[in-house]
Amino acid sequence: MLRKICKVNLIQNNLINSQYVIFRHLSAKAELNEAAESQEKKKTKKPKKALTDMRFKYPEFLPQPDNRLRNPVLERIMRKDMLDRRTQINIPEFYVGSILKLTISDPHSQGKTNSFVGICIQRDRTGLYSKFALRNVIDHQGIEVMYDLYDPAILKIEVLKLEKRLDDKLIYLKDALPEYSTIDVNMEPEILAEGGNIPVNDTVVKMKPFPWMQKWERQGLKGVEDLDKHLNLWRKQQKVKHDSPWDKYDLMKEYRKTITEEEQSEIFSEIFNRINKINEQHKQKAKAARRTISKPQNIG
Amino acid sequence: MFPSSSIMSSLKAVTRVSANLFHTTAINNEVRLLTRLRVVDNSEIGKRAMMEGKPPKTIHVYNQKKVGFIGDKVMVAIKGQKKKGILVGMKQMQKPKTPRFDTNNVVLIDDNGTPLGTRIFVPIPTILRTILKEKTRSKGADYTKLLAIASRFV
Amino acid sequence: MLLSRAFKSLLNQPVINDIRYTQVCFHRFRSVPKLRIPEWRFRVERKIKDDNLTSENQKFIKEVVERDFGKQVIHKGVETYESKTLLKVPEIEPKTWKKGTIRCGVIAKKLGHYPLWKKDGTRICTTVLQIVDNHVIKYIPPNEFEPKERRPLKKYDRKGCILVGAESVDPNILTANYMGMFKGSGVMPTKHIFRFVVDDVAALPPGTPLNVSHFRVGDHVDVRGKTVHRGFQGVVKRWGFKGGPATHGNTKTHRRPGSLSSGVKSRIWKGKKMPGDMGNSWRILKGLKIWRINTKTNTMWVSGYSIAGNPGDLVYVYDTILPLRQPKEPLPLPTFLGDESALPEDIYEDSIHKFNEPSIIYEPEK
Repeated sequence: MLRKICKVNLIQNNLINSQYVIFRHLSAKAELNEAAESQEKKKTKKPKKALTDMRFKYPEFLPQPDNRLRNPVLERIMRKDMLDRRTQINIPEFYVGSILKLTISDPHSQGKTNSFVGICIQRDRTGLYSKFALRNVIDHQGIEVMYDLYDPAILKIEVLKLEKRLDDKLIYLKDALPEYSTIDVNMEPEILAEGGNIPVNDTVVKMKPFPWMQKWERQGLKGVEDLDKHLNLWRKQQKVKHDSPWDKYDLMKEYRKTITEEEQSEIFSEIFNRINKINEQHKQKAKAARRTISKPQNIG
Repeated sequence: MFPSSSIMSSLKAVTRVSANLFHTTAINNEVRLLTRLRVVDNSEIGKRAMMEGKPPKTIHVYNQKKVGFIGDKVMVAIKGQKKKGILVGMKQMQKPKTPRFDTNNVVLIDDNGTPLGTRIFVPIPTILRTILKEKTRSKGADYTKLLAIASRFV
Repeated sequence: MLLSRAFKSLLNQPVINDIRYTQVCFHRFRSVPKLRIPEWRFRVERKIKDDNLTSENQKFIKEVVERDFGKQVIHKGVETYESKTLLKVPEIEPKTWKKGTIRCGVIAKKLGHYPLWKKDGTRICTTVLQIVDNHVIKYIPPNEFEPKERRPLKKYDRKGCILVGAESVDPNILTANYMGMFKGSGVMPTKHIFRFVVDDVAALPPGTPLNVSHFRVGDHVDVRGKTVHRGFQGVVKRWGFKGGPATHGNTKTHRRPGSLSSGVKSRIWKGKKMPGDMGNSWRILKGLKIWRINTKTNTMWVSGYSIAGNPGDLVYVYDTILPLRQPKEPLPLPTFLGDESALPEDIYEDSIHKFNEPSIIYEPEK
């Protein structure tokens, strides 16, 4: 009994802020014998695909995976508040790499509203704490702005271009050439066909010469050109020294960052009905708005 | 490719010169003593300093903490002269909804608060409106003149 | 042939799937500080021996507990038992609150952090406290209440005391002495018990439940909790000393305290800051504002992130003693006596933006 508790405590090391892995399901149940497995299969049904796919669309509804900081009562209240906020504003599906236009009410600006267009370079945290950052280059000046996703000052979130990139975070765009993060401010939205897969943009980025903000060569980035031509001998040696190629085989490390499949289906089945209802309401509102715009009346 | 190749070439020249010829401090996210800044207005002295690859250094931050935040007044050593300026964009982490820039930007001003140039090339954050309005006193310097020459707000 | 046969026999063996017991070691480097039981309370849990009970006997014991006290239920988000044995509380007369009267406090659990937004757009940091199924066990009037740890008070200044219990629990694990404290109260034995010193006006009969409605939105509270135990720590972490330089010929003096005293004094002053055990001590945060209350789950949102303890730890909540943050309207004395089901589910402070309200829009300048 004591040993069981010990193991749980030993597992948790500084994983509070790290982002969870959502691309693989890991079940909490141990593997069973063949005979027992066949019996088990008859009893339990696998969760539906519609439920399990919601982890890509609504990642902020999954709580953070550290068990010490979790509480079921608090999570349920937080989910209810998030859905309440979603009734007021349409928070669309977007990923790291897609281009957004954001309008917020700003007490400092002259017209009391402000807007910003940029690439989403990272999404962090969960629940009401979830936030995202946009980046753009305006007048040859790189600018980044961080927003809380559930901030009540946000008036509208528009997705101008829905796509994914090769990496989970695009913070390296700071040190890339500015052409990769320049976006036209007056860009028009590109409409994707419904139900199709989301396209993956596989551009490979060229970097500026030194100095850099971080040691990008150690992070195993996919969307960056071969960085060896920038490095000197010392930095190449350090790269090899700090490399840990065995990390991808460490299942426990991944398991600590995940929320199990059973728990995910429990969470999403709770919000499934209400969130679909809210999305339909926003669709109808948008349709009604489009109709009014399409009938201009000439006076006189 | 990137449209204004002149800026890129000047940037390369800056790095090449700075690496070899004279001693420079590394780019710091915080604005402290002796950090290098970027002049973003079209004042004569500022333009020439940036073109020569000798960006100004901070000598003093008019502040209790001695770390410059957005809207703070700094004294700057530029081309052998002492000038005052206002921090207009910061590289360090900002609160949500306030923009974070890739460089530490400064606009040079007079003792009365009038800017030396007539235009600011880059966008400046809207929060500067309220900060600079709070800092102006009735008999002191008027910093809000800086807002009039801004080309774009973010 | 032999080899293959042996291999096959290996394959046929049952596979051990449970790998939870492998490679776990637990070193205790230093002893945990001694658990001090207060004078007014007995030891809670008895030493549990493995009695090797059969499953039938265990089931029988469970039946007896359910017969006497009630079944296990979840009441307002807390796992407790049905309060079957509760006495019927006589009707309490509401009394008028004056400045300086001390009411009963409440036992709560720290759940975690929570962001809230104001109507002017600023974000505030709050902590959520859940009141965990509190019941009054006993009231000791002022003439009987004489705590030994305090200096004796004057007669007219004397105060009474209320025992409050939280989270009822399976009585099999409790000691007989501890169970005796609940005798005659009608309250099922609880996991936690605490003592609140009150005025004689704020007396409560045994069996009365204490809920969030005891407090109001907009008032201020003090929260007492036990800080996180850091163990034996050096002087840099415990007191914030600067330590020594890292380089320049420095050896073995990177995180040391330096000199302890002057040569003239030739001894160490009392209370000198030194290495030692850090944390695990009681601390009170005073004057925290209540921003929001949820009556369904018995939770309240209190300003600040720095309440002592980890999430899941117990804290004790009182009305504040700070003179400038006293409530403007009189507090409900001895508790809230109205109908709780008539209250709304969520009660917000006036300046807080509700989540189901439309987004913030500022008025343009004139």
